[in-house]
Amino acid sequence: MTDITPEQLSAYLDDALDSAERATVDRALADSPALRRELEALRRTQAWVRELPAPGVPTGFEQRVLRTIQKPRARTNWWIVAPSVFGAAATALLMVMVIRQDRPRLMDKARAATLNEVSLLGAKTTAPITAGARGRAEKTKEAPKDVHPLPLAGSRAGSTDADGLGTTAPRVATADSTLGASVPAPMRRAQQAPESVAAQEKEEARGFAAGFADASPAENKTRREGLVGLKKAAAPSVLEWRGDDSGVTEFREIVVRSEEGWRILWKEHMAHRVPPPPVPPVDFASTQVVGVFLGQRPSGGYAVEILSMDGEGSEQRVTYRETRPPANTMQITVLTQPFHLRVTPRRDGPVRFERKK
Amino acid sequence: MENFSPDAVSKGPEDFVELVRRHSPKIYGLALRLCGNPVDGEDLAQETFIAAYRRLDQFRGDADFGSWAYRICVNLWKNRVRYEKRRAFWKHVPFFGGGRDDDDPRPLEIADPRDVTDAPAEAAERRKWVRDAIAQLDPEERAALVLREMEDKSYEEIAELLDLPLGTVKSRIARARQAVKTKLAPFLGDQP
Repeated sequence: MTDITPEQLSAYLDDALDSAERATVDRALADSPALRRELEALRRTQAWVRELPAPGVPTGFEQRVLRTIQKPRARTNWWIVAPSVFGAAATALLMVMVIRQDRPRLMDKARAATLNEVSLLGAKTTAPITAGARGRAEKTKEAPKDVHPLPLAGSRAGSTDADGLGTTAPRVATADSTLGASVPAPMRRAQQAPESVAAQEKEEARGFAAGFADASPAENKTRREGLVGLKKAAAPSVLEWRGDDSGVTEFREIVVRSEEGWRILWKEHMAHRVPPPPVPPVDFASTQVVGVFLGQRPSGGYAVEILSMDGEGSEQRVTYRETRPPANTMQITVLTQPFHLRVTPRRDGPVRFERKK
Repeated sequence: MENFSPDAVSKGPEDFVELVRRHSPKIYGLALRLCGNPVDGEDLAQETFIAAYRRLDQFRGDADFGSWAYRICVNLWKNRVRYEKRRAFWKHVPFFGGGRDDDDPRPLEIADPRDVTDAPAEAAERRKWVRDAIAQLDPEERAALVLREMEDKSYEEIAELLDLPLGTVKSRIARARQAVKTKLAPFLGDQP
C-alpha cells in the first residue's frame, strides 16, 4: 500500500501531524485508494464512537455519595488493638531472647546445647586449683607456663589476644611443667547409649591416654590406672564444651593450664550470656584445657571438633576438624562462633594444633 | 465551570452534595467510560467525590472544581489499573472486561444502556457493538481513546493526564482505533 503507518493515519485524522508529515500523508492518500478506504473506515469508526450517548447518572447516586461522606471513617480502635499488638511484640521479644540464649539448641538438636557437657565417669574434680595465673593485663612476650594460646599460623605467629590468654607464643606452645600423675578418664556424653559410650570410651582412651607415645609404658599404665580411679569416684565433672555460641569471636587455639587463665577465658567465652554461667571447676593439677574457637561465622552449619590428642616426642598434638555447611543447604542465618573445649590430661610441654581437612 | 470555594461546603456534607449533583454527569460519564462497565464506573465516580470531599483543604479556591475532580477521577482510575494489573499478574485473570470471562455478570457498557429506544435496529445493534469493542480494549488504550473521542482532549492533555509521553498517547490511540475498527468490520463492509 504505502509507507504510512496506522499511527500516522490516526494522527492525520486528529489533525495532529506537522505540516511536512501531513503533506506526506496527503500525497500517499492521493496515490492510494486502499489508504483512502482505510482512512474512511477510521473516520466512520470515530464517528460511531463519538455518537454514543452520554450515560445518565444512576438514580440515587448523590445520596449514596452523601451517605458515604457522612459515615464516620473507620478508625483503628487502639484500645482494642493495643493489647494484641503489645502481646505480639512481647512474644517476638521473648522469642528473640530465647533464641539468643539457646540458639545452639534451636539450631541443631544433635549439638544439644551450647555447652555440650560431658561427664567424667564417676568423678568430681575436687582437686585444688593450681596457681600461676596470668591476668588480662599481664600480656607477656613469653609463652606463659599455665596458658598457651597458639597463633593461627606461622605468618601470624606473634599475634596476641585480648584477654591475657593469647600471647606471642609460637605455633607450638611450650610449657615447662611435667605431665601430671593423674590422667582423667575417657570422656563420654552423659546421655549416650551404653554401646556408643563404650565405643567412645575406647576411642578416647586411644586418643587421649594411649596416644602419648612418648611416655613410658609404666607412665601410660599409671595414667590408665588413674582413669580407672577417677571412674570410680563419685560425681560427674564437665570435661568438654562444644557449641556455636561463644563470646570469643576470632579464631583462637588455646591451652589453659591455670585456674586464673581458665577464669579469664571463661569470662570472655560467656561474655554474651546474662548472667554468665559460673566458671566450671577444672583440676589443673592433673588436667588442662585445650580448645579451638573458629571465630565468627555468618550462619549455622559451621562446627569444630577436637578429634584426638597424641604426642610426638616432647610435644603434644591436638587434631581437630572444622566443618562447613554443605553447599545449597538451608542454614539458620545468625552469626555463630563454633568452639570446642576439652579437658585433657595435663602435660606441660609444647602443644601443636593440626587442622584436619 | 464555575469557580468553587471550600467555604461552600463549610456547613457540612449536605452542601457538598449540591456540587456532586452538578458535576456527577461529567464525572460519572468519565468513570463509566474509563472502567468500561457501570458497576466499576459508579464505584469510581463515588470514590472520586469522596476523595474530593476529604481533600477539600488541598483545593485551591480559584480553581475549577470540575477540573479538579476530573483529575482526581483519572488518578484514581490509574491507581486501580496499577492494582488490577498486579492482581491480574498474580491471578492470571483479566480485568476491567478486557478479555474477561463470559461468566462475568457485569454488562459491557460504556454509554447509556437505556439509549436504544427509538433508534433504528441497525444503529442500536451497532452501538452495542461499539460499546463492546471499546469495553474490551486494553484499559490503557481504552483510556486514551475515551479521553480523545468522548472527552475531546488533545494529545497533549491526554499525555499530561495519564503521565505519558506524547508518542505513547499517539500509538495507544492508533491501536485502540484499529482494534475497534476491526471489531466493527461487519458494519464497515459496505464501504467502497
